[in-house]
Amino acid sequence: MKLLEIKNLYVTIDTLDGPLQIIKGVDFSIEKGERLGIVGESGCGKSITSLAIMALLPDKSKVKGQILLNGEEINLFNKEQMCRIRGDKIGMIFQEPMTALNPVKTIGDQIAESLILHRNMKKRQIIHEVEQLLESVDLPVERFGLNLYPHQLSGGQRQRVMIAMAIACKPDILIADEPTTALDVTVQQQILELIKELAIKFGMSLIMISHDLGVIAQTTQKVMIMYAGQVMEQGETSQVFKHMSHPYTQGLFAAIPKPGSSRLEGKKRLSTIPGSVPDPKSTVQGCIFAPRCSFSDDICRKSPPEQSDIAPGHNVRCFHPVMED
Amino acid sequence: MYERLAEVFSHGMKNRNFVAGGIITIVFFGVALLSYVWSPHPIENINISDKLLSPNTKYLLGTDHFGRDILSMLIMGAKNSIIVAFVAIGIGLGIGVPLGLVAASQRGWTDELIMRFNDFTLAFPSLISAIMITAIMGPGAVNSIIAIGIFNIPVFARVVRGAALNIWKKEFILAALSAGKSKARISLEHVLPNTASVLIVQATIQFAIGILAEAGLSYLGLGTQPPAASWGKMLNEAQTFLHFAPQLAIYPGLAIALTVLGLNLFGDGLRDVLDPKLRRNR
Repeated sequence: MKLLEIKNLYVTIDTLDGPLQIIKGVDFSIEKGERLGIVGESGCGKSITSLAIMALLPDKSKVKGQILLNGEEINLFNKEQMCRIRGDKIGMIFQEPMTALNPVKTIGDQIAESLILHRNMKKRQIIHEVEQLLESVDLPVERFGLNLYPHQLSGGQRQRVMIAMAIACKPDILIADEPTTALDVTVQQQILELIKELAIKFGMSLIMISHDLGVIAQTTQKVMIMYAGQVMEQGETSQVFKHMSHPYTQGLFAAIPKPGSSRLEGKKRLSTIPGSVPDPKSTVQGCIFAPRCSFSDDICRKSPPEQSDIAPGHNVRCFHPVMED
Repeated sequence: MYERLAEVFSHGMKNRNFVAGGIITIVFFGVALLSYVWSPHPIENINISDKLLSPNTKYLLGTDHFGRDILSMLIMGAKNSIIVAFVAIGIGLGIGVPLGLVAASQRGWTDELIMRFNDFTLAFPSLISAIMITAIMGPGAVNSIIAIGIFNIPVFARVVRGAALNIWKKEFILAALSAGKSKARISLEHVLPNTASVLIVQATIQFAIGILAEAGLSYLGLGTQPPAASWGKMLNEAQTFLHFAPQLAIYPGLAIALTVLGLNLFGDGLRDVLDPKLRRNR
């Protein structure tokens, strides 16, 4: 049995202009201890997918499809049942360490929160556990006491506190929603290493959400490329990175700046994907990427492509997958 | 917490409103506390032979038409004002804050219901409605406290809701939700502490309004009853003698004006000190 299985997930959000379909049929699964990456542009539905798993979507949204945790359909759970899952079975790390900590509470109190909620422990045990957690995110207790307030820490240190909060109950699944976007490059590396190490150490599955392909390559085993609420390409990270087959994936990779490719030296310009992400209000008849795709033809514009395997465990949603070597 | 207080204090010392208002407020509270241990003369002492004296060494501010010591009555009146305003704010905070928190966390029809009821209450002019309530329930200190308190409820509910809505948008709320906390516990443990600064400021302002309202009700004979002293009642009694003993009206009038001014300045200064955004602009 898979640890987490998402089957045919649709998310619709009601707006003043009518319902907007943000997620259009997403399928994926995660085994225990597996690390999955979700990549895509802003607004492609990466974060909404993770919030749907946590049942933390805004009130005006509707979820269709199945979200199975250990075979249980958690999308049917009521509020109380869901509170017991959050923090205990699934932990989450957020993007913005500056605002993701409560400014008026000490870091010790904030890390202890989910322990108090989910574990029946005595006060002394909790303090001991919080100290252990601080150590495990490389914030030595002698220097970083439990009584510090968030404003006394740097961005990287706050992100470490966030990680300690998310893993306090050793959840089965850790969701990291762009955990390093707000940090500078050297700190990014340390945080990514830390998240990966902790996931391996505690046997947690990891869902790493990012728009940075480097982050995904470094931390994950499987990857899922999303575009406008659909999964475009899915497979083993090494396989997808070597044999990217969807034109969109290729576009993403081509858009990574490489050293020495500046215009002054007369070399190639940084390539971009022409056009912009489709307006979720508009309905596209054929392939959702067709208007921006240089390979698209009449078939692409007529009917939407299905996901199809091009290699074991590597599937692509495209009529004309690029097969090159 | 101690550090934060020290920080607020050091910023406050640079703010003129905060310092001036603070001094007046401290004197006012000091005088009220003093009344518990000492006052120059017992205010129940009626000494007709000493009536309507001008200030002298025995009666520092003179006496009224019953020969009671004005200074003693002012001191007892300060205590009376504080008690009424305090309890009225307690009613406002105790009911208004939970209502505001619930409205902000539930949204939807709960929010609509609470806030429309709020608007309904706010639509009545508070002092006139307080007069109506005391007229119906009968005059007295307790009833005037209730009447003033009722109109504090929507003020606090609205202020807390506004601040809480802002906090609910913050990412740390999402983090707390993802740790498995219920909305009620988040309201109490995360939202409320973050709205404390607006609440403190609003409470200071409402304190001034409460004192003014109590004086108004007592002036009309609906608030504090004799023999207890109240600034409003002193004004009322003084108006008969306004032509030949104007000091009787001037003292309590000055006391009310100074106290309200001081509390307003203090509240204003406190808001500037507690809100870092405003602080930078100065």
